[in-house]
Amino acid sequence: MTHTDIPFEDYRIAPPAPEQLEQCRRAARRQLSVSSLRDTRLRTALRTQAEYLGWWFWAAQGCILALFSFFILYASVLWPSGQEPVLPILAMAGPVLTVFSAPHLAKSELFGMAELESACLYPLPRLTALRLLLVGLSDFAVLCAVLLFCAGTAAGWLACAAALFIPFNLSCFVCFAVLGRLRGYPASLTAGGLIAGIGIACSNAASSIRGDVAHIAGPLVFTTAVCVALFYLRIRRGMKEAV
Amino acid sequence: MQLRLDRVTRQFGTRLAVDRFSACLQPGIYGLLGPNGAGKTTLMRLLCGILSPTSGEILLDGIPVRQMGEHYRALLGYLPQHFGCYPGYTVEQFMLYLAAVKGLPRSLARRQTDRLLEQVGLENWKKQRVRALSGGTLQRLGIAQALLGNPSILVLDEPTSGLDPKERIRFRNLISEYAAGRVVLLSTHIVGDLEAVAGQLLMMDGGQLLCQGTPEALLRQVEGMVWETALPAAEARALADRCHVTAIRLEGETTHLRLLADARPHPLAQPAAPNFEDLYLYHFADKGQSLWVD
Repeated sequence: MTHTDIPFEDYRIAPPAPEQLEQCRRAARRQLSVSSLRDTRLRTALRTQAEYLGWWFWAAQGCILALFSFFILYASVLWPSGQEPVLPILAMAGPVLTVFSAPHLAKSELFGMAELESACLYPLPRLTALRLLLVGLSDFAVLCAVLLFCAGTAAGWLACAAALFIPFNLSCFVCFAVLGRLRGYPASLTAGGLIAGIGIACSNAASSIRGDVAHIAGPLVFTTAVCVALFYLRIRRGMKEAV
Repeated sequence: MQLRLDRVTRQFGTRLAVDRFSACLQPGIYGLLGPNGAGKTTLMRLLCGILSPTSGEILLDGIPVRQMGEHYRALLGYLPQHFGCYPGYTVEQFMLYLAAVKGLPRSLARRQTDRLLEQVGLENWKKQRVRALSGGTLQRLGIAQALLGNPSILVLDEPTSGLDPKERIRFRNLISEYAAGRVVLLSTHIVGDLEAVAGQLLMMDGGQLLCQGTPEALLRQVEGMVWETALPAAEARALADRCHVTAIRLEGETTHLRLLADARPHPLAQPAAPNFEDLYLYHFADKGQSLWVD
């Protein structure tokens, strides 16, 4: 007797084997655990972090850009001709930016939000990586904008770029070293102090830069390459899925 | 849904904060009870993925949560014992920020924020700065953010600390309504809260699970061990040195005692029905330590 001989109302399908049923249920639950309501796109996460960095962060970036651009543009008015301290001023821009930006990388620990954020969809390492990306790109953009204002100065592009980016790169090294080892207020105070020291030291050293390509191109390229590599590795590590 | 902890261990240096903890959690409300330093907060952090186990595994429906990653975290709601807030945030901004970090779309986040703030009685506090809130009000906000995204697994660490009795009752009702089809794990020292809502208790000490069961089953452990008596002060003091006192009430010259003892501790002592505090002291009171405070 084949299945076509059995009347429809009497036809019964054999129940699935228990282990097969369990396997199906598990697979179904796994599928259902992928919630379609959650927006996990990177650009949404970046936009959220950019919004919640706060207006004061973006205002500080704008003020720093305006301040240093003003000094560069009006250096010839503010100081006697030939004595404009363009390079020492530029050397302070990177450390000043980093001092204002670095606390945003440690803000979760500073304000007691780390534990809450760690249990959210975007874990804390990923949030920190997103903030690092935003803050780093923003600082880089501000420094590039300041560099554009250096077109009319006598110091030269390379000297201005070195004066801007070498102290900035050194400040970033301090941030990566300190923020990865200390948390909360000790991290901020330590980083802030070290970066201030770098700023002063670089500012003093900047006066001796005289467009000497051989001496400044090497440190500039080296520190920038290391800084970019550290940024990339930090962001990549933070974005990797890990508990 | 089944959340299983399989010999989960977490070690900090040489100290075992959680020691081979095994439990199976189905939908329902679980109360986690234990003294200070028992490992309750560490266990909750392990469940939420904030810490990773030194050994052992946490599985959701047979799948290790470490492999699930964000899919597991999407199911979580967590209220830590202590939390802060970014400066300048209002109550509404705080909720919307956490909703964004939980990946909720903006429109859904707004609707859930309004609904949850109403449920915890903070609908009129939306524009208040979080740092200006009292401890109890902040705790209510914490409960509200834990419920964002309708989590299937809710982990609450001391959720009722700082709440007045009216708010504790509101919280209990909220959790009882919410718990259908969800795993809710809450730790507290206020045993009355567990008495009212917990379907199962997990008693923990020294990082280990001492016992797990329904309140009725666990209370049977102390049946016949709870006594009440009324004695003059000096006699009551002497008795308290020999037994664990769970309650003392002075009425004039007479001291009413509620005690834990294996056998009738005094000829005038009468047996009493045990409660959760008796159960707590039975497991966690130091042997030989008098709880009488002069």
